[in-house]
Amino acid sequence: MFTFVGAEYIIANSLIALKKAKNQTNVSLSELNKLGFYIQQMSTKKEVDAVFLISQDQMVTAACDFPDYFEYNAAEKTICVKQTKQIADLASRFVGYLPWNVTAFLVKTTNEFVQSSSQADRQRSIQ
Amino acid sequence: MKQIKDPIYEYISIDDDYINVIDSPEYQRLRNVIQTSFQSLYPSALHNRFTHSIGVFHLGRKLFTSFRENVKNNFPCFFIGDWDKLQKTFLLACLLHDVGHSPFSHTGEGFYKDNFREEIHKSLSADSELHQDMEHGTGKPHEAMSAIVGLKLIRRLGITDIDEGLFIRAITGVKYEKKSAPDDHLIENIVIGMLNGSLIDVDKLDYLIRDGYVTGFNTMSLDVERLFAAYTIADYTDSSASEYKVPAYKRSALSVIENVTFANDLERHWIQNHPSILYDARLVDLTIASYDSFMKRKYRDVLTENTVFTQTALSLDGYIDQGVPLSLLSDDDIITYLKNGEDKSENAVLLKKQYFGRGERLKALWKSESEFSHLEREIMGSAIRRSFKAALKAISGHAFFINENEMEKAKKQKELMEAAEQSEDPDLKSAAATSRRAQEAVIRIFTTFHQFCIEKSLDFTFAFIFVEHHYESNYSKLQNSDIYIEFSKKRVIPFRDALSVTAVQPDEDEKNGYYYIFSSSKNICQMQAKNEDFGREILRYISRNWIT
Repeated sequence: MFTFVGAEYIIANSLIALKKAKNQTNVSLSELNKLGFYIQQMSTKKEVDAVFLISQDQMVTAACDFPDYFEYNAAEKTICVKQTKQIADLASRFVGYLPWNVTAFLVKTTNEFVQSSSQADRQRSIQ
Repeated sequence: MKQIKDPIYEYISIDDDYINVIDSPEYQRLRNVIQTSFQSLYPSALHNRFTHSIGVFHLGRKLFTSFRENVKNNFPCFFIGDWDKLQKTFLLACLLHDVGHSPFSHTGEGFYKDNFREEIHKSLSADSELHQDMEHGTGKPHEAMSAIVGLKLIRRLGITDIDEGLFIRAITGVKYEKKSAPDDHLIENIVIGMLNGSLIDVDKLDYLIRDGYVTGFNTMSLDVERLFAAYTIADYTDSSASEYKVPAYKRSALSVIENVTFANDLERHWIQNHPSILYDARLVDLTIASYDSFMKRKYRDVLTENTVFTQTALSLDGYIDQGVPLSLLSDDDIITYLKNGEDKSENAVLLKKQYFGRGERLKALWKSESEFSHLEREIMGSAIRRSFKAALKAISGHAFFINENEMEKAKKQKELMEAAEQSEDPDLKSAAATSRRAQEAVIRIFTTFHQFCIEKSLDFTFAFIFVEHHYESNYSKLQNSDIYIEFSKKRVIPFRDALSVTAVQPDEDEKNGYYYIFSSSKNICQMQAKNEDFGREILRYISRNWIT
């Protein structure tokens, strides 16, 4: 049938990529908004047939639906890894359980996005 | 001025200013977008977003009029803005709040691929504050789409005496964030909350009342006149002795606020989460996905945004001039696609049989969350409950049927993952290893059901739906809400401090959601003939055979 990729997968994969690239354990709704849109654009370009649920509303709901893994800070509008969990726990739960082509696409695209935004941050700090 | 007869509000008066909006093709499209997914259980639930939006307009006008009068009477010098302009902006937002809604349910909005923040910024480039406030989100996708489509319509009709930024904010629920003083933009933010509030707003009020009336479901009676008459602003002193104004209800509205909470609870608990309605909604979701997939394959050269759910598709002209039979996208397009059988794919054929052939649909083995909770606790230990539930939840985004066909697909996926474990890309290699392990749990779900069927001599025909949340009363939202009650001018308190009832919190297990399992009528009859409780037997089997 068809694949609907919940916002929890976007959140988890972004936190995994951020930890690896910048040793960062939280992500803002604003960053997730940009990442979500990038994922949608790339899924069109690469003809990945899946529906990605990326609105802010869905992100916040997903963070609350998985309280074992995420904590949502409403004041700062950020989502972080729950203190009792490691990044490896996120990977066990949220890298997988989707058709392989969707998982592969999500992992690669999220890594690309995080790495290019890290490069942009570094260039800004040099300037 | 026109009068529209409404079964709930008697007559709704529509000023000439708004008639042109209602007469537009964008608005008329809403006659063919159904309001709810309840008709599988309540056949009379055929009301549409057209009537609902007019109802919201009617309630919005009543609420605004009361609020304006209360504020002017009690704080005549507080708001120095233009009340008439504010009212017109708000009422247009009420009328157009669903004008960009996708067909059927909210599933369609998952297909919207617009960068709404940038689209809105292009239309209102001078409003940098709005752009800033939208940094963290633009509301739900159907709200953002409605704001964009609504703004274009208003401009095309030459309606200029409104606050366009506030119009967008009222529909999307994006409030003014920047304040140099606590009372800055208070009235505007209250007006936004009148249409897009967390608990009580005119959108929710109309659909609660209308859904109850049309379905025949015996819900609470809501005295909106009493509620609206009580809405005002009040002077509040917080625990740090800071003084500012807050939106407040006078104490006469307390009972109505509780009734609204109960009415919302009733609809969510007993209607929205009924297994027949969930099953029907799932079929619709899959059909929408199938339609989108078919159309973008067939017309890939025209549908360059790689979806049919675009602003163009919602417009009168649509894609007609480009040879694609698509404009004013509505429920009819999805139904016609399914009926006409042009799509010969396996998914489309199956969905057509299930959608139109009620007898083909699988039936729930338990009929309510309460029944499931009792069975689950009686039969399954907590470790197995958690583990099996987690596995079902994990695949709920892309799995629905549990049968031979889907089991074979799951096995093929595992082969793909095993092959990808040989990748030279370390990230993909690692992801493939994790996926392969997860897929083994997925295959276990299928093989468990398969073995059960062999043991019981049944057809291997099941479906499941996972519900993310156990029922939790909106009372818990009331406990955390920013509603204030004015008992007297000197006694204004947060509503949570005035509550006389507290919500029972779900336990840890219940917070992980629950599920329905469905099977064929034939299987159900076979189990009944053997005097076996199907629901109990399947859960017992899972309990004995599931490896955590």
